[in-house]
Amino acid sequence: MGKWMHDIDRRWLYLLLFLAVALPMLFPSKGGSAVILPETQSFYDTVERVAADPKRRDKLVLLVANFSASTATENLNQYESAMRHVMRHRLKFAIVSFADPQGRELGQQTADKLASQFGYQYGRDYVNWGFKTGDIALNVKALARDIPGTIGKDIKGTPLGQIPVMQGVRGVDDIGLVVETASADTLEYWLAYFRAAGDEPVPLLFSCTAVMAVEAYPFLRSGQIQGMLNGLKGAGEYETLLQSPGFATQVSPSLSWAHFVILFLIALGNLSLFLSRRRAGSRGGA
Amino acid sequence: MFTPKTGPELWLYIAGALLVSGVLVTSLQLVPGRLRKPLIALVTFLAGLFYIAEFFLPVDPTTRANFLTDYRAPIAQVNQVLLSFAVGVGVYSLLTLHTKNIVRRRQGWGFSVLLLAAMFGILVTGLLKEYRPNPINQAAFSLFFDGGLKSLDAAMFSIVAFYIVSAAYRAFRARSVEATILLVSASLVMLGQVSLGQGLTAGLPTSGFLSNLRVENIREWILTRASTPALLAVELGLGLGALSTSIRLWLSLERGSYFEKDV
Amino acid sequence: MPTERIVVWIAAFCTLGLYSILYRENKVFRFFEHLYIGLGTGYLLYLTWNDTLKPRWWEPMVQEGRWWWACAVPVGLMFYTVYSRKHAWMSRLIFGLFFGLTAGQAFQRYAAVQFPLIRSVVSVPLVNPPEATAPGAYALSPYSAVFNNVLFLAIVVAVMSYFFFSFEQKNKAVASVSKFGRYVLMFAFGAIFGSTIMARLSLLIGRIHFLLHDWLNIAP
Repeated sequence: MGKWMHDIDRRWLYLLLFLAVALPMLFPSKGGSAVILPETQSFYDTVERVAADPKRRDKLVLLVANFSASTATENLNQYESAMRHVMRHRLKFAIVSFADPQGRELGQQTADKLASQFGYQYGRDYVNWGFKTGDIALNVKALARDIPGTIGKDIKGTPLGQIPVMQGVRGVDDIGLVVETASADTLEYWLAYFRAAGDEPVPLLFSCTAVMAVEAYPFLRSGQIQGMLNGLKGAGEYETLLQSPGFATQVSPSLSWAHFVILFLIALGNLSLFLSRRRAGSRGGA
Repeated sequence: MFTPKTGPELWLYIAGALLVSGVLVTSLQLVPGRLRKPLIALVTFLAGLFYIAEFFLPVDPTTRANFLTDYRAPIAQVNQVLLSFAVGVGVYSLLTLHTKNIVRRRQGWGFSVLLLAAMFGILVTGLLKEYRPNPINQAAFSLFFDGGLKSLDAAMFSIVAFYIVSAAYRAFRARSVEATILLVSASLVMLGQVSLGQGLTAGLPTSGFLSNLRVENIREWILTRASTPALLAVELGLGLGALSTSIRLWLSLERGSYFEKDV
Repeated sequence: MPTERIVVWIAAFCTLGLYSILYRENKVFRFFEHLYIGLGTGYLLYLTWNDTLKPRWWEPMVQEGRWWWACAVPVGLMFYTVYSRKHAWMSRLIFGLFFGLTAGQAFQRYAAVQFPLIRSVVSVPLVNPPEATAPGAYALSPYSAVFNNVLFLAIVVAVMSYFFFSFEQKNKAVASVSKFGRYVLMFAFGAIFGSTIMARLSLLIGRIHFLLHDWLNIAP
């Protein structure tokens, strides 16, 4: 048995994973009810608090799209839910990307998808600042002081000063909330150069890939970020809170079964190790 | 002198600026070898000094700015423009490599043709979409971006999942105390983050002492109580390391093959 | 066939083409690999021009008459001297400029990122911790909240001592603390591994959902 376990072709393992993901999609069942984690709840609550705060709700929300299609399953679903939440409260927002060029396109596609549903109009209710190359630290630090001077024009080539939604938006004090959706380590730029640069700290929310989430918990604990969405799971919990089940909720059974396959294989691999050690031990004993 | 110009005067000024700056940059080659390293160190020091002074100098309490603060945006603009030029460095390398492949008919040169065609295809359709926005140009760009780039990007990164499965089976073994701790922690986190795993302990109460044994609470405990302080300590160390490396870079004290190369 | 459908078919072929590597190394994979690199590079060039160079350099120069932006061309070309053995030192001059700009921000970065983290460590309450009574907090009794906070501090100290005393330790107490720090780090790496698995599986789920739902239309 041990030899068979040792020699198994990796392609059988790939097939097993494929089936674990595909079968729950082909034969959907109701996924178990998602337990809402505190960081997701505080993410949701922060947007609600900003929307209810008369001092903040008229300010611009920054929906930072620092991700590409490579992590779209996690980041795009988080981003879409955050935009939906912001639109539901009729908050003005700007899309911007510093770390990945695809972010501005994916952000715009998300806005195009949701705008008609919520009656949002480009220029009046939201704007896309586009992708800005260069050292992100320099861009974010300048942004805190002078947004039109740092961004210049939107993706349509209109100077920011001529766009209705940008009227009166100068710097960090005109930003009500920052939602950083990222697949790379870009959170620290907002922590270092933006969050605390104004009269009052700007609420900062972080939606990231699950790989990065573990390292962001210290910032959550220290109060530097107010909430966090942890990968696809976080996106699913957020959809539950928004009462708007979408992709993340739908694929929850696939995620579960794929996890179980991996746990099963880890157990099998360790059983194989145990058996081979016992065999070696008994040979040594003989 | 530094006032915006219009018409033919503007083009004269642009030509003049190109000429003067071009001559200045070219004349840098006349700098003797022994002065080159000090010159690089001086440029690095002055560039760093700007942000250090801007941060440490006291600010006017009403404007929350000192005399350097308003230069942040122009510097950001220079940074955006110059580093955009730097994007071409990698592209140039890619272009020369694949053009050589095609010209010399090296093995697999057809792939080089494909790479260059794809590069120019998305570049041209992207620009057409911006400069001549119409449904045909939009659709052409969509074929390259939504059909090609987006799906290839997503597929390429998703392949790792298959390799993780293989690694989980072959390499994730409890061979030592450390590996066992890692394995137990990872398994509990995995169980706690999916609904099927959470279902295993769903029968336990949601409050009181026994609720601590619910798998999602164990996962949360691992993430927020056990791994957070460990990673926080790592972060504190990294912060100090980044600060000291930055100071060494600023003062040109950093050593290594790049910094010690002869100029 | 409407454009959306053609896009879906292209995307499906691209996905399957890349997945062919799972069976074995083959030319179909190399085809799509080169297509990927070409598209990624072309897209970066398009957006670098359209979103940055055009609105931030070209238009200010030729439309707003700010002629001095022409100086950016020779300065920007200094990056390209990296390919010439004779002139390569000039690229170090421009890289030095950006090293300096980035390094100069380190003090602010350290203060803004690290000080709140340090404060969060030194202000951990060991008596009557508020999280023991906070609504919606973990199911903690006051005793376990105190225990967790003591453990929190112990882990921070242990992991830091593991790094600071990474050379061979003769002092038994320090060696034991460092050993504990190493075990806790393994715990943290396990958590990262568990989360990484979820991240990678999520990406795969996205692709398979695309194939079954958007392309083949056999999954709801």
